[in-house]
Amino acid sequence: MEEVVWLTFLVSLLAAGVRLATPLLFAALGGITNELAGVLNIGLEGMMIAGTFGAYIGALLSGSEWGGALGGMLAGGLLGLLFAYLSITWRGDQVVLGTGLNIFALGLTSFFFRSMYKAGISQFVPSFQAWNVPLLSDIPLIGQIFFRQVPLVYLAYMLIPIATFLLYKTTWGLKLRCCGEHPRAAETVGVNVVKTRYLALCLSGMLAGLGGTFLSLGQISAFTEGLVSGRGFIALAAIIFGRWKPLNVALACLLFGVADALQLRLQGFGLPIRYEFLLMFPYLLTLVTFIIFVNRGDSPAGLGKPYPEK
Amino acid sequence: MENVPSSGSPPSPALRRARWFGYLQIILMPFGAVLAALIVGAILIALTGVDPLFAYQKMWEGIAKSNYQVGLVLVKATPLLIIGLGLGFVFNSGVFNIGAEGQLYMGALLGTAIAIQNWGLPAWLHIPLSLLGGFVGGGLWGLLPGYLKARHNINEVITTILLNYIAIYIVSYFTHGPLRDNPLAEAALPQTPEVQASAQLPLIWPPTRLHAGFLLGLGLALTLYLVTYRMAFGYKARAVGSSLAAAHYAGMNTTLIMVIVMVVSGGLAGVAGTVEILGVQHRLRDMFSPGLGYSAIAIALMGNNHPFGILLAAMLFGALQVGANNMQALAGVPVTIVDVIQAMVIFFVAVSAMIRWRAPLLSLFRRAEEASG
Amino acid sequence: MPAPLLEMRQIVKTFGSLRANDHVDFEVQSGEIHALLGENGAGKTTLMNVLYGLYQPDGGEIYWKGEKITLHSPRDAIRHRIGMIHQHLMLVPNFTVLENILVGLPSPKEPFLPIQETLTRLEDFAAQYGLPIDPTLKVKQLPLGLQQRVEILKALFRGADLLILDEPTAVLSPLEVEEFFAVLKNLVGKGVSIIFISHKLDEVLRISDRITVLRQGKRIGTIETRQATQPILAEMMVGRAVALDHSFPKGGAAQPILELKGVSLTRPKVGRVLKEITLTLHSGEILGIAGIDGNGQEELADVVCGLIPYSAGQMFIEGRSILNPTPRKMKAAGLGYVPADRQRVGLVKNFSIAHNLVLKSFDAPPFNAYGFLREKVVRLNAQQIIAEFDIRAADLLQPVGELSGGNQQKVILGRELKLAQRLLVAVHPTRGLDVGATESVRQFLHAQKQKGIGILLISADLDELLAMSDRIAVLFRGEILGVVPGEAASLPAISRMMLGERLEATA
Repeated sequence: MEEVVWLTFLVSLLAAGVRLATPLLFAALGGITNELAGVLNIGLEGMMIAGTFGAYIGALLSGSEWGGALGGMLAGGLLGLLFAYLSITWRGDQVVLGTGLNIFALGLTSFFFRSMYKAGISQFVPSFQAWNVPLLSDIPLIGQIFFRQVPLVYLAYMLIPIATFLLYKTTWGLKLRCCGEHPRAAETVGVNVVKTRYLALCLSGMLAGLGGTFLSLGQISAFTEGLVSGRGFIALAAIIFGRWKPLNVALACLLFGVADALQLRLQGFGLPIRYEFLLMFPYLLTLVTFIIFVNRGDSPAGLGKPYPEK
Repeated sequence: MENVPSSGSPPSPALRRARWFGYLQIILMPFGAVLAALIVGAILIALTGVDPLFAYQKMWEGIAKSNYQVGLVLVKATPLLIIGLGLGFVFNSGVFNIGAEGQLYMGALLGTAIAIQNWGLPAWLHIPLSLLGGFVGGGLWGLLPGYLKARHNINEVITTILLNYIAIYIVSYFTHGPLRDNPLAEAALPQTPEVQASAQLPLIWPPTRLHAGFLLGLGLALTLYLVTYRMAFGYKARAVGSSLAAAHYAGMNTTLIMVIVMVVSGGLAGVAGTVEILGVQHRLRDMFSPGLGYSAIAIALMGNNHPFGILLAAMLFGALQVGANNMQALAGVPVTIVDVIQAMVIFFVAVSAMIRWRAPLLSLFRRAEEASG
Repeated sequence: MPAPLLEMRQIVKTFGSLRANDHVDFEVQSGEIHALLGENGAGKTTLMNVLYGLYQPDGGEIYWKGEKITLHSPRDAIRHRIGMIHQHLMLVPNFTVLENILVGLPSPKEPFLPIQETLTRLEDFAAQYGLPIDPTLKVKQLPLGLQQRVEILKALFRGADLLILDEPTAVLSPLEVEEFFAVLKNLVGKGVSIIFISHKLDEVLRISDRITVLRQGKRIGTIETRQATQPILAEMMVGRAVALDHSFPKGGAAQPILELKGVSLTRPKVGRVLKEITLTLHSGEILGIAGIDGNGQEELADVVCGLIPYSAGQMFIEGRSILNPTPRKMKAAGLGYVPADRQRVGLVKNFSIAHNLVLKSFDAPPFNAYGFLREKVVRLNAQQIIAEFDIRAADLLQPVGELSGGNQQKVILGRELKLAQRLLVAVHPTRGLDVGATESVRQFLHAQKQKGIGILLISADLDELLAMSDRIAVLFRGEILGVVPGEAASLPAISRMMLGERLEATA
């Protein structure tokens, strides 16, 4: 009897971990793309924030959650474009701009939201519903963990092999990675570094926007301020932890997702631990893994440096 | 070859003019940035269906309609000034500390813990002791990321931001738990008891709310100016920020310098948090800061990391904050427009390095160079 | 004469107020090796970057195979079958040889990478041009000579009727240069025309068919190599007659000043960078250290100057053992250091000249009182050094990053020579400087030697080492393979040692 309880707990924990890893995964895959192209994007958090609000507006206007996803991608992508314009065309410091972008997204979404709803409470909009994958969802344990999720979860996990293929196996991926390692070398073999980095940032913004979409339309059906609360930074840490390889990064996201699920469950257990410490746990875990793993991997050599140099 | 401008002789009038023009540009640029940000802000306000001129009029009235409001501006500017000074100091050394928010919380926690104690201390002892507690709390919170950056080159942006979330939860724990005021009462708010009268900062411009913390801020600005631009330590700290390799080559203990600078920066954020409690709020509340630590980043950047520039920028943003509150109340424009304006100032300052590159000063140097072959 | 393969007419390129190319004419005939000769800063690389589409000219026209063309980017140059090998190799160290060659190549099966096809073609090329290489190795594992081969293969893969080589021999040892010249002859035999950029007269005279000389952005003239001699070329380059192979008086060594005994350095991930270095430097002596870049020269300098703690061995100054040297200890022992990277290491670029001149002495009297910097004394010191070393600047508050390379080097010398009471370590002290600045830097060094200072001179320029050093030691993969007298007769022995051959009888 005891065992059954534990098994149920474990399955629901892992299912929730898979779900909670999804927004991290979207953002991290986006972050990998721009980092491999040589742009350090501290603004991932802001792009996610824009995504949560864009998705809400999209769903509100279109009356459909997929319209919301489009809105989330559009909002994130626009921030990516803004970041690209400031950091590539105007060669601003990427870390400073990324920090600015986070404040910008937080302020702008809150400004529009509070203008729309003076009371600060949004209305409900269409949201993503769980969709059981035929056959696969019937597999014991595995089916319950992976295949009874909302469609965005499946999309995120499908993106892992796609990103691996695009970034590491195609001519486009090789060019993109060359821009991140040695932009001048890329230029001398005819690669348009500026265009490549613009594209990488827009893609990154769109993916982070999808991550934001998941937070407002995949878990709840509304918008509130503070939905993202640091997930963009956790995604950044996951990228470093997973050494810029999509599969490893996904595993890191999963780890953080499960940590989050665990603390949520423990809150309900009435343990003699204060819930503030449980809430802190995912950040603490991220911090510790980041400190341990940050200097182990080879980051792209041109990361964070504007191009052309002068 | 012969008419090369001065090797050892004083600079020519043309050069002096160009140099002054360059300084002027550095000073004026950030204000241009604010102006531009206000224009974009006006467009945003118009988008929400409010007349931007009406909104800005309310904003201006909020700032200047009475001495009380002016006092409020300085009250709002005080924590921004103190945090901004610390951030400017640490940015000068090339460490991008964005953990001021967490350092502020930890400083306020320790500072308040001392300030609420009924030890029967006189004010001249209780206030400095509480402020020292604030410095230690914030400084310790800056020590870890500073050490990791300096010794192991671990990116301080990620570590400090994660520590922000952790600090906020720690304070949340204390305000809900061990330090909670009257925990048995059913409707008790998550906040500490009121700080002792002996630890409250005196008001210096009654009947406004302006408290002695503002004077402390002014003193700190002067001190940091001297340290940064007149003392050997500031020379070292700026050398570390300009070129770590050169500082190491010159025999400076770069690790120690970075750690010290980071601790000072965190400590000042902690002092700012404590000042806010001792001077304004008198109780430490859960989630008491509206992102002061983030706003101060914009202020440090806008002030070009220079203490006097930071002083001006802090007062400007204090005014924007007070004005925006009035604007929200009377024109229905959300105060968070100030965050948007701050972000845009960061954007403008970040890209203005590019504009400054084209300054006339430089082309004059170039000509001098060429003349020398 | 047939229509030239390439004709550049009246090319103008300005940067700010600097005119890097001033109405330059340049042409290349099919099948020739055309040398482009000039001092550092004469505008050679700028002209070639215009030809490769990296810079857009402000004026002038380019004719290629008789047709006028416009080059907006390297893509256009590659399309016209123009290839370029840059002075700083454009390779990604973390990529394999294969990936470096593949990057940017159109693929017959987009979006997939044409890996098999490329491997096959690579074998063909290797046989055809005599350029074998292992495509699976990462570029960072290859010696510089092989990295350059990868660059040539890269250009050939993209199809090159004209190959621009920017200072290709700078990274090679004398023997590798021979091998490289053979490859060039082979390429010309296969129908490739070559532009060979250099500032080394002897190489240009040996390899080229014609020579065009640039000076201060202007074309001075083009002559047939048959009719050229070193003095003619030197005068065209510099604008006045120059004394070539000017050698400084040798001798004067006295008692030992610096002794290294079995000094080794091991670095994480890299391994042993220095292996049991044993050396003695005497006062009044210049000891040259030769070797191809990256064989431990810069680490040796850093170790001697206390920037990197060594792993094993002993170091003595005037017979006294120095334990755990630090930059401060070494400064106190009377050491000055002119580092290899003057921009990033030797100077704080956005500090003023005056502040850079006290970079190592700002925290002691007379520049410091009670923790405060004494600006007046700092400026007085700057005025003196600026006058003494003839530093050309707008004034002493000018940020040092705005100075020319030669003047930056003089700022470093002005500071370090004052500190060098016993010995001086100078790494590539004249690299990238024009003839005038080079000459004055050498004069300063020689004057130090005459004052009885011991100088450790690390340079990749063999001519410089031979002209200045009393003795020359050769570093190869972190080891001293031998020490020879600093005279022209030692050249063959040095060349062999630079490639790893150990010399039995040492001087």
